[in-house]
Amino acid sequence: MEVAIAMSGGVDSSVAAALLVEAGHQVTGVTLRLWGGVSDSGCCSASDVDDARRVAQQLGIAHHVFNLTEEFQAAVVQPYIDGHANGKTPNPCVECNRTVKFELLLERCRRLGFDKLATGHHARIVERHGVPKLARGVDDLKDQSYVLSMLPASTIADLVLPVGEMNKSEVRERALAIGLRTATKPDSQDVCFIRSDEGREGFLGERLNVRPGTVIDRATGKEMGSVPAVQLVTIGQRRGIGAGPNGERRYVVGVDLKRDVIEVDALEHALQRRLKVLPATVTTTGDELPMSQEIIVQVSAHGKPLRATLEPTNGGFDVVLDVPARLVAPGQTLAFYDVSDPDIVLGSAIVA
Amino acid sequence: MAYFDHAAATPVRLEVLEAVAPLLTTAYANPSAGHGQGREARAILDDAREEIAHLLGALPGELIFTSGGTESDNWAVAGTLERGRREGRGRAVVSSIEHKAVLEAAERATGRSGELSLVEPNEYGEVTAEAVAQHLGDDVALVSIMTANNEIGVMNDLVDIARAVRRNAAHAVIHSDAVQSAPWCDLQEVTRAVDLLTVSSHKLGGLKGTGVLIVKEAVRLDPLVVGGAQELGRRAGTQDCLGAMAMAVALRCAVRDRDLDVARVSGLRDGFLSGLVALGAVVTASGVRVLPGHAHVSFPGLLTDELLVGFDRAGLAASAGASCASGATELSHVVTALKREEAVGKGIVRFSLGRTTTQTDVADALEIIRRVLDLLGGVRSTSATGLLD
Repeated sequence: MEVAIAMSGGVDSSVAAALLVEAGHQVTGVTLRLWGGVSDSGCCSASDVDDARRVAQQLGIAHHVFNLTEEFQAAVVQPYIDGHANGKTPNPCVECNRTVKFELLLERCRRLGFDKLATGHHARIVERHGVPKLARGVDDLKDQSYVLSMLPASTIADLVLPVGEMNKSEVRERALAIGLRTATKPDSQDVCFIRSDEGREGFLGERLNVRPGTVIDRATGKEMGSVPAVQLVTIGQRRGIGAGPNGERRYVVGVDLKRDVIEVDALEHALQRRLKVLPATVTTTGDELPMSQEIIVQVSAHGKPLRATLEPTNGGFDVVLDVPARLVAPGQTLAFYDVSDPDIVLGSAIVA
Repeated sequence: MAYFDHAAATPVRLEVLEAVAPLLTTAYANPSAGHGQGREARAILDDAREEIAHLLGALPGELIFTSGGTESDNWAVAGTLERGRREGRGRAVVSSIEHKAVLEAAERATGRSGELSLVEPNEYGEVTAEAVAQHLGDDVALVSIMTANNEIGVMNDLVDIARAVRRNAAHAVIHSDAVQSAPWCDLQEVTRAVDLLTVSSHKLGGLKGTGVLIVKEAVRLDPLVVGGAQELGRRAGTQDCLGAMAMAVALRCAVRDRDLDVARVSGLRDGFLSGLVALGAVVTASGVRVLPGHAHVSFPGLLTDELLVGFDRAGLAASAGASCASGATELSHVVTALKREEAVGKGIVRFSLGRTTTQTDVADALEIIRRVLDLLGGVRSTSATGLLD
């Protein structure tokens, strides 16, 4: 099989490439140059590309760098900035996977004659009734099925995820055993285009005309303080907005960008059962999403799986949680899993 | 594997290998040393200097060995502008399609005062004397125009340009980067016309890491690399005698074979271009003089990245001309300067033929290109002739 492996320069995709070579496939490494600015990995992510290239050389496979900076800017970075300007909190990794990695890159690989695209994600492709399905990786702590939950069935059929069957420690042991230079490289933690020394605040602060906001207690209507950048406040957030009169925790329950007001409240008022989703963002891994039946929903990359039911509405559905949970910000992705086969991803939707 | 990237690097000539290999373990002494072995090494270096100078139309005392074209360009630009500024003239006139070694050196040297005038090429990539003349004046310290462009291969008339400079910018030092033209052109007339000339060894079939800067006798140039009196006191660092010898041998062979090579390779190239046009490619430079080995084209509606990977997978080596630190291709400043984005598009590829290219290579390459274009869905639209006019 001719396989293109997306190599980020990290240990997971390095080991994934090695496993594919060991399995006897014809493997070609590709690294995407996504962010044109300076990152933690230097200009053009040069040091990550170096790592990927060196691993490819060690494995004796070809390696190419694809320049997708314009596409990444248009499909991921700008929507991330615009989302914040409009009171939404998009997940850039989900958007990158949706539009860049598993659409542009996959299409390119198909055009170039590759049979499959592989990545180093901790997730699995498993068969159910003869159909490939996306499933959680075996390492609970590293599972990345959430950020792949928006992939359509046609993509899943062309995907190989070699490290999904391994724990992270096994991946590192394997990398050490082969002598890969990425064996002890720390995991990337953050959004790739935001430098650790500037953070989300610094990045968005430079690109948005941030405005201060007034923090108001929803219960009393009293002003409690202020925040320096109202667009950077997220629904459900606890940090940075002060505490109640007796020191009790407060949570953001409303962000009004017209008046630049943040409403906060106690936890019991910052919970919700019914989540509205944007119908146009609903994706499924093939089968229709099961309505009026219990499913499992995950509201963040490493969030706790919650039991819920999809209740049909006019033109779509609401996600109704069994037990109320903390508010989820508009723009965030919800991943749906099968309650009777809880590793299997059913689909996803974005919170309205 | 069909190799169509000779403008990036071309095979080392057998004559070079035969001349240099036996000396690698014997001619090891430092040419600055006063002992017998040092004198032997020095003789190798001086022989090379004399031969290269002679072949390029310069005096031996005008030829300084450097680490390659990039250093020579940097030195020519920075050294001239540094001295010019001290003498009250800081402006640089360079074409917007110079190699980055010239462009970035000029940007850096003039950055503080902002005295950088960019000469735009015409739509086919030629930098004319008329275009240069518009930027000239008494305040110009440096004019740097390449003899032929590295990406599109378009040649400029340096004799004509130099004449315009002498008339309209009496104090300007004229530099030309002749790295790409050296394998194909007799540079003696150019050498006579300019003050500084850059040539690199590995484009000739010599070794990477050797270049020269010709600095005419009358020209005063501040040094770039200091810390020793080597190279006539103008460029510090222990000389690479065998690198110099390799360049002399390579240039000697290039001059010896030039007429035949130019005729044969430009014939192959023209046939190759016809084949490309038949496949829907658009030729970037037409109606201008282009180096014999260059075939710079675009495949409308396709992307450079995909084309190059497709070619590589099928066994054809070509390039785009510009890349960033990560190795990713970028839209080239040369192509951008042609201001024909609509026609030229994004599917830019530079194929470059060399003296080892054969008719079979051309046929193989065209067959691979046909297959890859099929795979990628073919070009999206073509003009009637394939030429942009």
